[in-house]
Amino acid sequence: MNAQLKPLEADVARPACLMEITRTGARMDAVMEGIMWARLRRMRTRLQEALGNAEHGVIARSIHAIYEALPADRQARVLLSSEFCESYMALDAARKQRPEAGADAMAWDAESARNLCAIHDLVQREKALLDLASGSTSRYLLESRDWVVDSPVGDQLARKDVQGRWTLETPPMLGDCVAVDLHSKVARHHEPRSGVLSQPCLALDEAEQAVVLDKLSRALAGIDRAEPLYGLVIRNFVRRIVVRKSEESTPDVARRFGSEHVPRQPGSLRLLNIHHPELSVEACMESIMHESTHNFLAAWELANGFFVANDYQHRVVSPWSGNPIPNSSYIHAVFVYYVCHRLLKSHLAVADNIDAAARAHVHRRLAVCAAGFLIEQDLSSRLMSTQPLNADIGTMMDDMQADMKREYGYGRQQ
Amino acid sequence: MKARTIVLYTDHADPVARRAAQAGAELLHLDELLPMVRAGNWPAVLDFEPSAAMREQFIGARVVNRVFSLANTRMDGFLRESGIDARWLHIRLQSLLESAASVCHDTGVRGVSRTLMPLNVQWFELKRVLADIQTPDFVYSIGYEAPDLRGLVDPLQKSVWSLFDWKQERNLLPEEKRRHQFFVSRPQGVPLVSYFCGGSADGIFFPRGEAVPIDLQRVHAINQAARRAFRSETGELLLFAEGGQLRFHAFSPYLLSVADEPAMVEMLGRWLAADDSSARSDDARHALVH
Repeated sequence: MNAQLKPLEADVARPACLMEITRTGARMDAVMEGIMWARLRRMRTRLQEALGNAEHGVIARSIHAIYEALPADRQARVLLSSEFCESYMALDAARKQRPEAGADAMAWDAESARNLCAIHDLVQREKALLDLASGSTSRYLLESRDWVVDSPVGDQLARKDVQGRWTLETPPMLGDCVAVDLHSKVARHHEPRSGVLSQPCLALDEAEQAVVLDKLSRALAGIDRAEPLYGLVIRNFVRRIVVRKSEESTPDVARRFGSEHVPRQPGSLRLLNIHHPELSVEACMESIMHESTHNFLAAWELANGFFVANDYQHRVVSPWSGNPIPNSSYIHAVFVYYVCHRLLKSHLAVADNIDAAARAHVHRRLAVCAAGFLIEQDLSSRLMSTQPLNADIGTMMDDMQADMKREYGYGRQQ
Repeated sequence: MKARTIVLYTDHADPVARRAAQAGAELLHLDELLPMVRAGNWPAVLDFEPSAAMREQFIGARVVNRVFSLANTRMDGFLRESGIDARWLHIRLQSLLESAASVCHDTGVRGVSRTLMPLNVQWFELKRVLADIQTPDFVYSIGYEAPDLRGLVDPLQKSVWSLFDWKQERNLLPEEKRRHQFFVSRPQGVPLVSYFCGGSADGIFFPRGEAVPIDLQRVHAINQAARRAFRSETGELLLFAEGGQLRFHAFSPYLLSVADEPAMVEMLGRWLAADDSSARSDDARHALVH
């Protein structure tokens, strides 16, 4: 067999393929491409399922017609948007949980209708932006009471002036392909479950916006320099970075900054208060990589099935943060801290202008990343699942732990 | 041959440490290791160089690791001043403990050590070993979301880390009160504390003085399941007797509820003096009700 074809051989249906992100080897390109295509196909199937449900009637017919009128690249943008995935998952949950009759059945009907309408709205927005790009203002925009309408992936927006004229704009972009979302409805949304979006939303002034964009682009450049494949992971699996400015100061330093990814919104990540000067570029690099690794893993899960059933009652104490977290987050955490450790170590090796304070910060973070692996217990044994798991998952977790223990000489006399 | 027993501890009031000398065990306070540690640059982070004599002392020993908390130790002050996370102390201790013949209690900080788990993890882990054990119903909300308490009877908000406050929670931090709220059904029935040393010495007592008939074989089975699940050769459990059933509420290695119970004092002494960590000799069998 031709050895040059080997990098393309990657069984992306098995969780074991995800270990490529820990090795950044020649197969990583094939793994990323395989996951993206698998996810696109899975999302298309999900849309077909939603439209094929006879109960969805006229709205489904309209979604289908608008979707079919979009060119293939625009269809893909819809299917890969966080908004579509979130609405589809909520629609699916409503279908599965709806009882036969009673008040609860009506509540679930309302939930189905709300999410079907959300999918209808997002395909309309994509079509309206396409039309506007070719000089035509659609009825959707003409009838809209909003002043700004953004694309489902967040990388384009239409703005209305006081004369009612709509024009296309592009929000700030990171690495030419990741939208930095400072103002949209998504960015201003209040979400009680979220560590970032439950914080009061304050407007970033122009100087702060400039700081945010500069810090993000320096962080991405640092990642590109330290581990180019990780830069590709970010560009391939993140479409939108939501930036939230919250209270100017809180006595709890741990809550002043934050970042998160939520599984129902693949392709998005959220950053809290990165405009603060005390948050370094190195800290920003780690946050972006941390959440992008979640996105990479979530994309695989969306295409192939979740690692473990969603269960928030059982929470494992993270050996890194000390916080009780769901099993799924814990499995992700093992990858995330391994990848961030690898990134920060490479950064120290290649960065030529890193000052003493930044170097000390990176050393502290490397110690945090490593410490969670250097524990007596096998990481896989801590999972609190009542269901059998794919054997690859435990093996991957323990392999990463064994690797880190070897690197740090855990248990050996110094 | 009788293995040397070493009790490594941090709290001078620790019930096991207090009984160790009398039982002929060796006592080692964590602060005695202070001259052997120093802050290092990454990747060393924390250098730990025990003397050859100390390494020799641990080889083949039976170690009781009572490093549950660093509070009030000089080691804690040193780590804080050096900006070193306590996790690294446990990481370095492992290099010493690995040469022991047996180690009672896991190493690691709270939540990492299987000996120091939060309530909901304790319930899950005990069920792994003893599938039919009853545990409290609970609700665990996410973020600032309000919990749905409809499935609970007389809901009580608790800290997941608070093992023994079941009438009124006194250890709820303000952050826990608002975020990731944890509620349980308030306990029903008669509380009892069961305790054990090794594989065959068990005891129970009724903290409210109100005794009810108890199946001692069942208590033994629960104690042994806890011994395995929480990697502890000694510990105490809070159970509630509900009719003929026992419901497990919490495990604690601290032994604070039973530290001054004469039967426990005697049991601890025998266990610490025993030849091996399993203490399975027939003459060590106790089934005390008091």
